[in-house]
Amino acid sequence: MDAALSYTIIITQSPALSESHLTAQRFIGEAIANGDKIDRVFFYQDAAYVGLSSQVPGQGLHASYQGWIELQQQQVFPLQICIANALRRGVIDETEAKRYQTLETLQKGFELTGLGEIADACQSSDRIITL
Amino acid sequence: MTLIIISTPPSLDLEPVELLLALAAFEQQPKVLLMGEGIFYANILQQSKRTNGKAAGKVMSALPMYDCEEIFICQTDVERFGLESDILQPFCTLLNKQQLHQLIQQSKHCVNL
Repeated sequence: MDAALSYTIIITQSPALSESHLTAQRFIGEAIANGDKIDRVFFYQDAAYVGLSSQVPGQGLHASYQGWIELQQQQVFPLQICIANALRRGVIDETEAKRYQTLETLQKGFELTGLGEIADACQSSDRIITL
Repeated sequence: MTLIIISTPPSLDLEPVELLLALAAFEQQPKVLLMGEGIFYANILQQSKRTNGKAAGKVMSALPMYDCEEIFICQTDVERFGLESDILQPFCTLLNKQQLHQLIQQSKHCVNL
């Protein structure tokens, strides 16, 4: 068996318009099964919408964050949303909700972080995959 | 070395450039490759797309001040879109297909935006 690799996955497209989230989830599932490590999944640009807790999916369908939450049950890895991109799109955690005196809209299981995480990924992850 | 490939046109909030600036702030010294519709980031005539927003041309012209100095443009795409060299940022370097492949091969990571 090859040596295990560590991955950072960057997703940039909206979960409502692109299948890149599903592709990433399948890839991560395979990587975990192969013994590899997922350092983080980072949601950038319109991918930030994935963390919006107020999503109301159509009847019988899942909210776009559901697959991510389920994947975390196989291996715990951070689901990080770029904080600047998130705030522009109304995805707001508890801290920012207090700061801007508005409602918290971030789905549990996700966190808002800065772009320093990508800088860290460039240093520490064996592979960065952008979808 | 990390290569940021921008292949989408300038957006309202210029989010790909925010990533460049962040990596530069963390002393990563990213290299940049503009290709496809991403070459329009190098067009000095690009105006702001959002009211009171920043123009792509002005933001890009600030990159060298943040030690983000290696900015490359796909020559094939410049010719395909008919951009004249006098409206491209002067610090950008045009790359032919072979040079473009070398740049990608030399990079530890490629982040596509």
